[in-house]
Amino acid sequence: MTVADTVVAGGLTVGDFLLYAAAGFVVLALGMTYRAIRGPTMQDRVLAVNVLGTNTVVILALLGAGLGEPTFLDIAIVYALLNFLMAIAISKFTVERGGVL
Amino acid sequence: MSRDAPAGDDDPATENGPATENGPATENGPATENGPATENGPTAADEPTGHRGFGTEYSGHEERPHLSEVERQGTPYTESQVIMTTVKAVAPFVFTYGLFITFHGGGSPGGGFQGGAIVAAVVLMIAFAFGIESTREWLSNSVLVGLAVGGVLVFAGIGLVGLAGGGTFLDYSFLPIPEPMKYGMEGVEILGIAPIVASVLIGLFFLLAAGPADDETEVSE
Amino acid sequence: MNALLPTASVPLAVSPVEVSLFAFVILTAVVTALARDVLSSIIVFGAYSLGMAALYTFYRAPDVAMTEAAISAGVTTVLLLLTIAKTSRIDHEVAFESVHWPAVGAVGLLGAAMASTLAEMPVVGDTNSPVWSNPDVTQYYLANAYAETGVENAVMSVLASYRGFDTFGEAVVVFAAGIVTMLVLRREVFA
Repeated sequence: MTVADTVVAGGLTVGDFLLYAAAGFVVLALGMTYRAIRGPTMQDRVLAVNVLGTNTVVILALLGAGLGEPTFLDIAIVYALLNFLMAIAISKFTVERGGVL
Repeated sequence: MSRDAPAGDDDPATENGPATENGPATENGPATENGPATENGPTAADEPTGHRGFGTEYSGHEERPHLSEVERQGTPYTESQVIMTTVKAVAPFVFTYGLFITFHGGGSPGGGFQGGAIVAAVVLMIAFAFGIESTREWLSNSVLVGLAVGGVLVFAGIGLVGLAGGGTFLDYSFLPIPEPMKYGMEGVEILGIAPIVASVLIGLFFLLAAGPADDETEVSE
Repeated sequence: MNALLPTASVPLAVSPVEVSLFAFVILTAVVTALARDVLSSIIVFGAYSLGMAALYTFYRAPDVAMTEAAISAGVTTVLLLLTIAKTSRIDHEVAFESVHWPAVGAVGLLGAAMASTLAEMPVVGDTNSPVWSNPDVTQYYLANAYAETGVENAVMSVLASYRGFDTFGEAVVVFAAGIVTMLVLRREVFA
């Protein structure tokens, strides 16, 4: 019996609450997708992708905790380390292609 | 993001000077292993635009057609203090983590493929921070080819040991090591798959950065 | 979007995480297909892979999720960006491609035909489904992987040991992809 299986209130366990929190973060990610799609400038999109990536790290960590699988945190670490590469690639590309695209 | 060197400004010093570890060696020639690039040296020296990023500098042929900026969409390497500092701080950790994923594939999620991809991402990171051309010279072609070919050979070799011992292909129990099943698999993941994936992904990155060889006549010979 | 709606009506005990992740993944997939500007498309595709990684994690496939994370966040976006750096950019006034409605209808029909079979599929996580309860494959691996191979990660024991020859083929395919890229770009060296 892990912490994630402890019943808190109304028959819901800690894991359930963590998963609800993860769902909430996905809804936030949906909101951020609007910025990634709409822009209007490329900087908005770069920032949106960066925020989405950080959001995903949190979602993955919550999923790992909520499902009671600590090894899932490895995936969150991969994203935390590599997310930055996506952001610098896009921002460098934007600069090298001649200013604001 | 600061842009010290605008696109039209042909100042080689700002383009490959302090950022690269091997500053003037970006003059394209002696450091590289590949023969044709050495012949390319004088051409590049005559022409400042030879340092333009995204691989316009690189060419496997003696005569490079002088395409304009617009045609090639080649653009300068823009030095960014923020990105360089961040990459310097982050790259060792990403590299270590890639090795961890590779070596610990038997006990946690991951394995050679994932670890190799993360290790390749380190080189991509460095290339974005310090310029693709300097990174290309820092990592010689023979290292990449050696890793890719060596990985395939090690994988096939481990497989053939079982065949030679009278078993089947990839029968690890014939390996002359303690716990042959476990360490045979680890060997395949660490010495086989990870080097192949890492070197091929890095190679794809450099190839795509260089773009197609644009000299049709030289190729047909 | 209409073409994808039938999948939502499957009687399943879906959790809020699944619903929101599916909404995110479908939205980003449609935008990736419809975005007029290639750069926007690539960026949204990066966001799509973030959602897919979370979805794989939720379905307890951490190895797949980690591959998705390492490849998409680390490599695919960069390679796509490098590729379109070789092209010239056209300024579009409109953000999205115009939708070709006959094509949407055809895809919708195909999707509906496929979705009609969904009722016969086992529920996600059903322990009686053939793929799970099969005593010769899945259950055999789960019961014997550690005793026979000595590694704790059953996925890796299948990849490297039980299906080692397939993995050898995959590794050679990756190797061949590098060679073929050299051929297509008419280069002779990796770096």
